[in-house]
Amino acid sequence: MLHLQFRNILNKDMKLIKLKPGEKAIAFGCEKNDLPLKLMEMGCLDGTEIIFLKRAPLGSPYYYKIGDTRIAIDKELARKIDIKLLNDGQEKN
Amino acid sequence: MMDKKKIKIALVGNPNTGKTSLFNKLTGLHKKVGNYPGITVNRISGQFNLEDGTEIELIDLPGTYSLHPNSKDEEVVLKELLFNDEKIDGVIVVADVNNLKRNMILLTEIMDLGYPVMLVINMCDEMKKRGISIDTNKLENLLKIPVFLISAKKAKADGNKKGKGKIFELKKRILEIFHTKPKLFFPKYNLTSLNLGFLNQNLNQNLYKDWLLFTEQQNFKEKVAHQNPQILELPFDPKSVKRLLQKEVIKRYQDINNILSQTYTIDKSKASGITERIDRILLHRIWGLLIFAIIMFSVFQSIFSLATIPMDWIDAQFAILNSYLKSVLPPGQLTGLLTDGIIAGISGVLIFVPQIAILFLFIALLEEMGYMSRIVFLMDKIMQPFGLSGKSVVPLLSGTACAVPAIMGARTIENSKERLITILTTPFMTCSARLPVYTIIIALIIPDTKIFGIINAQGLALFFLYFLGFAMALVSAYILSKVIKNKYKRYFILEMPEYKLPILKNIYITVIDKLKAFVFGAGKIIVAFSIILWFLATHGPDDYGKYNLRSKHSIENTQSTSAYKLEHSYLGIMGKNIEPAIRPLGYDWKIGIALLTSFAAREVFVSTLSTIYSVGDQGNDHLLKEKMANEINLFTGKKTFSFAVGISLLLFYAFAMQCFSTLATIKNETKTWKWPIIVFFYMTGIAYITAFFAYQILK
Repeated sequence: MLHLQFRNILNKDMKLIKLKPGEKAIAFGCEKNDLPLKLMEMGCLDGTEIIFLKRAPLGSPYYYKIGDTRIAIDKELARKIDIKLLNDGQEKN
Repeated sequence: MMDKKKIKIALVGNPNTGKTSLFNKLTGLHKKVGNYPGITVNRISGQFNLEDGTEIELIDLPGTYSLHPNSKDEEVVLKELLFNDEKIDGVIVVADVNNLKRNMILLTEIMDLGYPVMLVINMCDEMKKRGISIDTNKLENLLKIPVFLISAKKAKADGNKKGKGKIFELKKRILEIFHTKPKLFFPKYNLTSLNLGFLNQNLNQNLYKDWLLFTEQQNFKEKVAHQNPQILELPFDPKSVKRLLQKEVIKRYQDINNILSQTYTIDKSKASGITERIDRILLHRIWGLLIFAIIMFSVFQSIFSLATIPMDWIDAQFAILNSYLKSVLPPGQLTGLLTDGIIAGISGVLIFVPQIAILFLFIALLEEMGYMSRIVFLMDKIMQPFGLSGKSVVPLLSGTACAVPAIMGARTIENSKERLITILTTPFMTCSARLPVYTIIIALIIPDTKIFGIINAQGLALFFLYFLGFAMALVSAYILSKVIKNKYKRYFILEMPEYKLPILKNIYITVIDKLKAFVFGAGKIIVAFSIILWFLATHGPDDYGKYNLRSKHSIENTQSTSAYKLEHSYLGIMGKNIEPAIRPLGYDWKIGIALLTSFAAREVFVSTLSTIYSVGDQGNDHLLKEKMANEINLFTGKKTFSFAVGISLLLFYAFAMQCFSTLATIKNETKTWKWPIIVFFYMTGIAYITAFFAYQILK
């Protein structure tokens, strides 16, 4: 599974906040970026798949599926997390 | 340990794992609610007996994702497991089958602490549907602890009596945890890489315990010093410590992945995605907000108007009881104390029951179904700048009906700082008891005309008062959020739990618990206040009794008799004595007395004035209004209820803390008199200052 996903990595690094609704990515550099321990404990680690589900109606917070957990985080955190965009165009699993 | 007949077991788990459901099923309704000193977190414990007679005390600890706390509530878990002198004998970790990996982080930490542990995997009724299978035996062997699958929601609590059922089986296996030696996960290099290797040799038994003491030393200096002063002598660099903590999390996840890959399979094609689909509607920028508004409106409507039906009924029953007692008992002090003091007080407590029950019915329902987290998601943007939680919307809105249930509703806010700020600012919201006061004063000073031909001026004034209360609540919240210190940085990280059908039993238990907490907590204080107020309003110094005796025969003028009695009671004397203080606000001693009696409930202002102006206390508003309009202030020689005085009174009632039921509830929720006292002086201070300037400028 994970192996398959890595093949689909687009060579495009960006911050989580730039993700568009429905897009998938994988997290990296979690330690380097000094993420709050709690977020890592909840499963946001290098290689974890992240899907952007929704932005709150009033603009913030942001709602993701990170690994197996649905988590809402604020803008500041979404700006901190590095991701690699996944090409999920056709392949739906 | 096994010869001990009394065993203390802590129930620990991530939030939203159904931990409390399991607690309720295991202990039945035999629970004890205490509190942790200094914080507004309840300590909930319950008891049950095993077949062999062993007594188990089960402690339900707040939900947390790990032992490293991010809030005062999560601190409780660490305090109980690491710092408590009355040691916990064993731990049951509750995990959600749908998110086992993440749940096991906490499990491995607790195993490393050296506690005998059992893993209870909850919500197992959903396994088939989601294509999950677990090799329990292998998992037990790898973790070296008992593992138990259950659906706490479906398990029968009375299984114990019949000797079967999942709860019974679980109880049977509880003692197994003391026969096992859990696998350890803690990476020793955490110590060696910081040159703390010598911790290894020098210090006591458990490495992970030392590591926790070391990493949490900034938050718990005294406690760490008490347990192991040597640790504080070690060099501490927060950055490298955090790096190691992160590495530790990664290592734990690796080990857990390794274990789960051998024991846990999930068929991803069966993932329903139903929560995400519901969220698409409930969090939609139009529909989501609309549905939220409708839900909040229903909550408001229910406590504002639906609750008045049972409230009026309770009121009527007590009135009947009181008039019956007065008719059969000989008139005198004792009858007065019983009817107008004690029974009136009890009625004053029970009158809140419908509103509290209805509000918590809604709150528990929304919480159970997973919607509360969505409220936070929707409202955080608005509330966060004021130091409030998105969930504060519920208490604040409920506060427009009554502050008492609203303040209790703040319990659902996890973060204790946000909860405290919500509790302290909710009393500013315009509650329904202020309405009769507003109505009569607005009618006196604002003409019943239309502005621009459509907007009713009196209605506009009333709206403005609602707005004023709300604005002052937010301003105060902002100030408080700057004043109250919080050692934890506020990151917004919120799990959005799955939507679930509510478990009615849990809702029932929540409502009953809150009612009990109110009636036996705040209720006692309210009855005591009520008796004191009764005494002050019906007793006076020496010459008071003479008039009493004399007036017995002058039946034709009972109304002015009661006016005289009130005037010469202790309360009346107090009202007269505060006159110099309230004269700058434009009030005379008659208003002074009404301000004091308002402590029973603000609307008493109206009936007190009726008594003083001898209109008779049975709501003859028209006559009262006429009297008030013609009343002349003896000191100024002008009308007592001039425009300036009216505005001053409206502001005073908008801001002043005049309700002892609210104060009693704040005391009950914060477990200290400190906060109700602060609220009293803060609110009344603001009321005094604004009323003072309004009167001085307008007069």
